[in-house]
Amino acid sequence: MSVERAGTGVSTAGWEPKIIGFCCNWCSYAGADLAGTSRIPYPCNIRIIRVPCSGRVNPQFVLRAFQRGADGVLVAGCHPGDCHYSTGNYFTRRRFLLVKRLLEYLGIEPRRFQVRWISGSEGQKFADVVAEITEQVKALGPAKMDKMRDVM
Amino acid sequence: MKEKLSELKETVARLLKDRTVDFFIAYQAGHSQVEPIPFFLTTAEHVENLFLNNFCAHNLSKYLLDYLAGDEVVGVLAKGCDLRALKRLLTDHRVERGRVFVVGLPCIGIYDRKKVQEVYPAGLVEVVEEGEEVILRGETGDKRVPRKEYLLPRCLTCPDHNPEFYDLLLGEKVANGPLAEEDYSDVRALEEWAPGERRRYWTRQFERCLRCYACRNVCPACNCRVCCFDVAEPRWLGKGTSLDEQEMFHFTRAMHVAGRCTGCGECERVCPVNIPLMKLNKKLAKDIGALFHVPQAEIPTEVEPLGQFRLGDPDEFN
Repeated sequence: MSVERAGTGVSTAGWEPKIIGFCCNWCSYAGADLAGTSRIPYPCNIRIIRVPCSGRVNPQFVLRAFQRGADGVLVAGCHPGDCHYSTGNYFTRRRFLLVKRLLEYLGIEPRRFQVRWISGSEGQKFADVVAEITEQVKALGPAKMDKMRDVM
Repeated sequence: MKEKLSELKETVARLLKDRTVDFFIAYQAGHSQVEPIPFFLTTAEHVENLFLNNFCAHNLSKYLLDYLAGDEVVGVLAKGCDLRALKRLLTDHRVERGRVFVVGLPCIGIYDRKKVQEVYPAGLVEVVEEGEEVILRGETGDKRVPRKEYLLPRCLTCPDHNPEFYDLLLGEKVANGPLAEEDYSDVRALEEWAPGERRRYWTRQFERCLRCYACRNVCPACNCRVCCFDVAEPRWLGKGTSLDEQEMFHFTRAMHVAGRCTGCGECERVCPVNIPLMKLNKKLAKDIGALFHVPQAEIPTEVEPLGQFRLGDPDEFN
């Protein structure tokens, strides 16, 4: 790992990304649980916030996470068709297709924000997704939205 | 538009006298030719103060929200764009059709006060249209310029020069059709930039925000009974002026009006610090059109694009 990101002057020595993961209670949180009970290792960079449904994730949560120091945000829910509430994740899909593009438009590197469908039986997938995002965000370096953190 | 003033005066006087409407919302003269202000008439005696010219940009139908309680019938003057705003309020069941009396105003374009004031900071006497050209007649002389360059951005792509519906129309209908196609060129240009450049661009824009809420107050799509920025809870949604809260405000507003924005551009027009808010709204309108096949011209829809879904929606999240 480079000690300094090229051209930024920001030291990344010893830096580990913080990733906020919004996991739906019924699928992705159970998937994370399965990863744990199956003893599948995954990076500890993710901080999971359990939500009743991926449809609960307000786009404001995502922006606020970035503003308060997250380097990456993951929204994980049931596969389309599998929602515990039948249709919640279909609304999530529409909403976050737009949010993803809007965040990118506002200049937030698109790989920092990801939406994934992870079922309760996909412990391995959960571990793989977390590993993949952590790797990508590490390569991108700190989100440097510290200027956004002037009110805490 | 000025030539319709006498007809407007007659009409409003008649409507107020025969109690078709309890009061009427139109325009009166402001500080100068280019700054007409809203006018709320309760009696026919006030019609002499009515004012009308090609700078009457305000969407008056938003004021209907101030008269929800009670049972007055409110008369309102509406251009094509204002009618779309009114349609937004009707579709959202915020305003009852039976309590609004719409006086439609055919319109071929409203001039951008800021652009005209660059040429005439003061002393503009009148604006005379001559086909594709316009003569800005000032105290210091005339200036002949292409009309298109001085219109509000929304007027260039305006699909309805005539209001879609009305109870009464002032004057004759005018030839319809936009002067230019909406090609989202400004959004596309910004999309081409590097992410870091865009970040700096938007930071510079949001930094200026005063949290005056003019954009929200003027927006026909921002018609919630209670706005999330007006209440104490949730605590994590701040009310202060700091860059993060300012960005949060504009991001939230853009998402809240996504698929509901009628594209009138009033938010951008009233912004005292010139934040290019339509670049946010248009970005969302463009993506909604591309992803969910709901073109801007169809909005307001009965069920808004983000309030519904299709099984076959694009899925890139796997």
